[in-house]
Amino acid sequence: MRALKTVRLRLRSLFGGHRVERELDDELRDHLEREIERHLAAGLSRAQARTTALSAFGNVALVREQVRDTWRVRWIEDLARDLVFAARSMRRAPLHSLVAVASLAAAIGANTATFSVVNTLMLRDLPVASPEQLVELAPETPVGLGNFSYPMYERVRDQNTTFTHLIAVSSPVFPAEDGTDQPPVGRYASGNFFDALGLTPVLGRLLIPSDDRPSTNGSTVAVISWGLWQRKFGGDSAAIGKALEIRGPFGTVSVPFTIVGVLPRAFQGLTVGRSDDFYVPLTSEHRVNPKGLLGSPGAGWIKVVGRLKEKVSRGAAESDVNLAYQRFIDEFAGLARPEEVQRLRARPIVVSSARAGLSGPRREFERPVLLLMGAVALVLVVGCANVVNLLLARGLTRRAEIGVRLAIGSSRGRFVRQLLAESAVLGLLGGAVGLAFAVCGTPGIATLMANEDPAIAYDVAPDRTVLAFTFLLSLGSALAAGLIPALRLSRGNVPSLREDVAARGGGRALTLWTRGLIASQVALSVLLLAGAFLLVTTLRNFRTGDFGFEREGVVEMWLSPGRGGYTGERRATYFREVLQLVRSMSGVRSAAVSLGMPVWSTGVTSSFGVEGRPKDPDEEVFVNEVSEGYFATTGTRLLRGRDFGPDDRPGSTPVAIVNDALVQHYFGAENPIGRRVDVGIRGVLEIVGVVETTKHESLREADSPIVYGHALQGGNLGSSLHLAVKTAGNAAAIGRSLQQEIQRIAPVPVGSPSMLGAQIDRTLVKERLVARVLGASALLAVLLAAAGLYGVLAYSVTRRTNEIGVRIALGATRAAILRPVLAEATKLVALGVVIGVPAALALTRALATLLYDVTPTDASVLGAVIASLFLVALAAAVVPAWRASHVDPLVALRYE
Amino acid sequence: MSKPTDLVQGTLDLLILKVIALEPMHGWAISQRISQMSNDVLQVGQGSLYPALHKLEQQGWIDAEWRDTENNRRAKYYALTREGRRAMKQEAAQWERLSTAISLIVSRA
Repeated sequence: MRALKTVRLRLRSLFGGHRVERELDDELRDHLEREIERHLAAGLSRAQARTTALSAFGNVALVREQVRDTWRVRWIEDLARDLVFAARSMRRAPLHSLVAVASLAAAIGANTATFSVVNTLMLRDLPVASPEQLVELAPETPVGLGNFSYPMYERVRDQNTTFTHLIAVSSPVFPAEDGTDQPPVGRYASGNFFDALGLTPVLGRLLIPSDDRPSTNGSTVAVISWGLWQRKFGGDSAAIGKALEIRGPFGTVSVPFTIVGVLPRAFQGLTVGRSDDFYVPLTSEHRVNPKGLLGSPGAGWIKVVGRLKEKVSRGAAESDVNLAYQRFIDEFAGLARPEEVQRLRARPIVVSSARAGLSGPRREFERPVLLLMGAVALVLVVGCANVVNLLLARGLTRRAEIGVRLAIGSSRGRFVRQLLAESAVLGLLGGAVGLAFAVCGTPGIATLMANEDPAIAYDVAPDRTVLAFTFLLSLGSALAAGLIPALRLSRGNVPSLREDVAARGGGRALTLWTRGLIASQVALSVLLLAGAFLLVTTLRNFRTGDFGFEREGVVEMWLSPGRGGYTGERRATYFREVLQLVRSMSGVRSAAVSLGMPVWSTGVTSSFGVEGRPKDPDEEVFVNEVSEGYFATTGTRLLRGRDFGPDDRPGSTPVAIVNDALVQHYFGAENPIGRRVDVGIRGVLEIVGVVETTKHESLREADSPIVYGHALQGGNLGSSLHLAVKTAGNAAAIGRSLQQEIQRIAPVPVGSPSMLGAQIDRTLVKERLVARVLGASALLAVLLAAAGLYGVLAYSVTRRTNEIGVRIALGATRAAILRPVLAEATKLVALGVVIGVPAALALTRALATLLYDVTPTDASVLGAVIASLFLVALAAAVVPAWRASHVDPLVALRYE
Repeated sequence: MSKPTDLVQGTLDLLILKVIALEPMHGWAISQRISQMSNDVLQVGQGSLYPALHKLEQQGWIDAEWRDTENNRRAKYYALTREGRRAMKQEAAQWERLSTAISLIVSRA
């Protein structure tokens, strides 16, 4: 009862406003009157009574303030008043406020955009039960995290003591045939998958352990995603019971799976950016691929995730799992080659957090994205520097007002609070606009990261975390930027209240801060520009470098006679027919089929030995299979001997072509032509030609030996091969018409044409990502610094208009006026460059792994950066300088 | 009126509570009564009185009510609440202990 009354009282004080104030006034007035009466009764005259009473009464305003203090709502009122005042003073200097808000908006927008990506990739929890308990188990290989095989998973699952659940999901996705070009893709999942994740279906049921028994080869049931349910079945509950056809890898087996349930909308799989359309039981892989992966102890195709038992640490789990793993290796050691066993033992299982999903996408983009967060943080500093300068400049014009307020008795703390309130308003406005920018721009980054793979789509829409980040960043940076001006201006050493005198007198000290800030902005711009130029140069080097092949005008498409049901010799015939057709078409310079294409779809490795020399079982080379015309198509030069020709048929001597790196390594100065080599399952081949060395897996790799076997000569033709075509003219159009023509000659699936150049660009996704975002950051920083420089120079000219007028009146030439302005600009930029270049040299080392054929100390890059900055500075200084030189002395002298 | 010599805020609260324990009164009357009861030693100015009154009201120890007085004036009357009465007893005991302790020290030679 009492508590309620107190609360009511407090609320009344807060919202009562005028009425409460008036009551207080009444109360005090009443007190005063009674005092006067008392004095009257004591015999004083009315005037005397009044004077005595009033003088004793003291400062009414102060009393009111003190009473209000007791109402303990003062701080809210103060804040509200500060905000209103802030808004008003912002309106009084609209240009200043606009530039400040714009600077913050640009910088915060960039930060929010980058953070959205970080959030999606690394921070956002999976939409499952207790994601913090989930960990990923994987063997650590030199090139990243590897996969499990099914027997490996079984052992670890059955023998561990540290997990409540261990679930498995296939690493590659595979399609369900529906006759379209973009069929639904899904994975195999263990029976306990959905139970362990705590998911419940929106329709039907999910997979259960009894669906996934090896003894029954798994049930032919499937669970589909919400997305697929909507797309293919229109959200109709009749989807339950329909079938998904899953075909084996060689097109020979097709198994129908019955749909039994639909997953919740929020769950799209364990891999960020990918959305799995369906899941089928792990053990059913055996039905689809009887000679396949399930039983193979060495085939790594499964990703394993576990839910830790309570209070079990990751380290303990790791030891436990590795114990089971080693026992597994012991068990299967007899079935594998000793070097394979050794390799397995050398790759212990590591346990890492999976709360944000499997680590694949994270590992790919982690370093570049964190690098970019650093870059946009620098942009934020540049933006804040502008805000600081603007606030300092504004403060200069408000010195009179500030002086008066401090003189009346406003406390310094109060004053600083009010200035900070202004900064906060600027910050929040800037943050709101920045958020809008980010919402528009972040999808662009996500698209780049998806790398033109239609299966990948990163959801970078702002969620609560991103909003909180933006809010805190805007507020924090604005307050930080506002602190220095607030502290300086409230210092209160006011030599004079007259604005003009104060402006002239107080100029010098502030200028030191201002110049320092401009120089810092320039230095940071140097850093960002250097990074951007290095990346751009890298991309250019990749485009123009000699990698052993020509990328221009080469079209590629998959031919899959295996999926069309062709086998054996029929496949070779098909390929020959296609080649004949394609070579006869206009616009085609040359054509070939191959197993692997440069840098892209890569081929196989195989054991290798030169005939007549002892064979080393560890020796491996890369093997590609190509038809005649391949090297002409890809623009790889033939150095010795000949290309494959019409005489190389099935039945004639098996032939091979090797690359120069192989010759250097195995033959030195000897002539390799005619020599025989033993290449794994292909057997003994005779070398008939040597080609230049090309890159085959990545553009950055060291030269390595490659053997090119004849694609159409051997017996065991693969299910699909690339068709590569060198075109003259519009490659894309020619590619499309080729696809149509080829599809006419046989009922065999032909993939969509794509350009070799585009495919190669896709291997450079990280470099392109960093180049684009770093470039944008650098541009932003330069623009902000230029705006800052312009503002400072313009202001300086305005302040000194009087002085300039005098000088012109005394006979100074325009040039003499221009020079100091330009000199000032040059000095500031020079200072910034001097600080920035060493910083750039030191810090761009962080980019080293992304660069190609260019180093951070490259003189041409640094030269370009410095030149650009001076040009920009010149542009920023032009207008103020021009205005200075055109000051009309008569007007200026009157401007007192 | 000068501020009460060396009166701590808490002590003023106690004085107010004590005074209105006898009967509800308005601010001016409270200051007069304190002055009277202390033989004019303690003079409470409105600078200290009203902040103290409003704080006590916020704390819930006293209740305020506008009433019509003689001469058709309106004044804000303050009265003790039950919590206020309890608090007053506690404060008084506290004050007793404190002042005894101080006297012990001060009165030694």
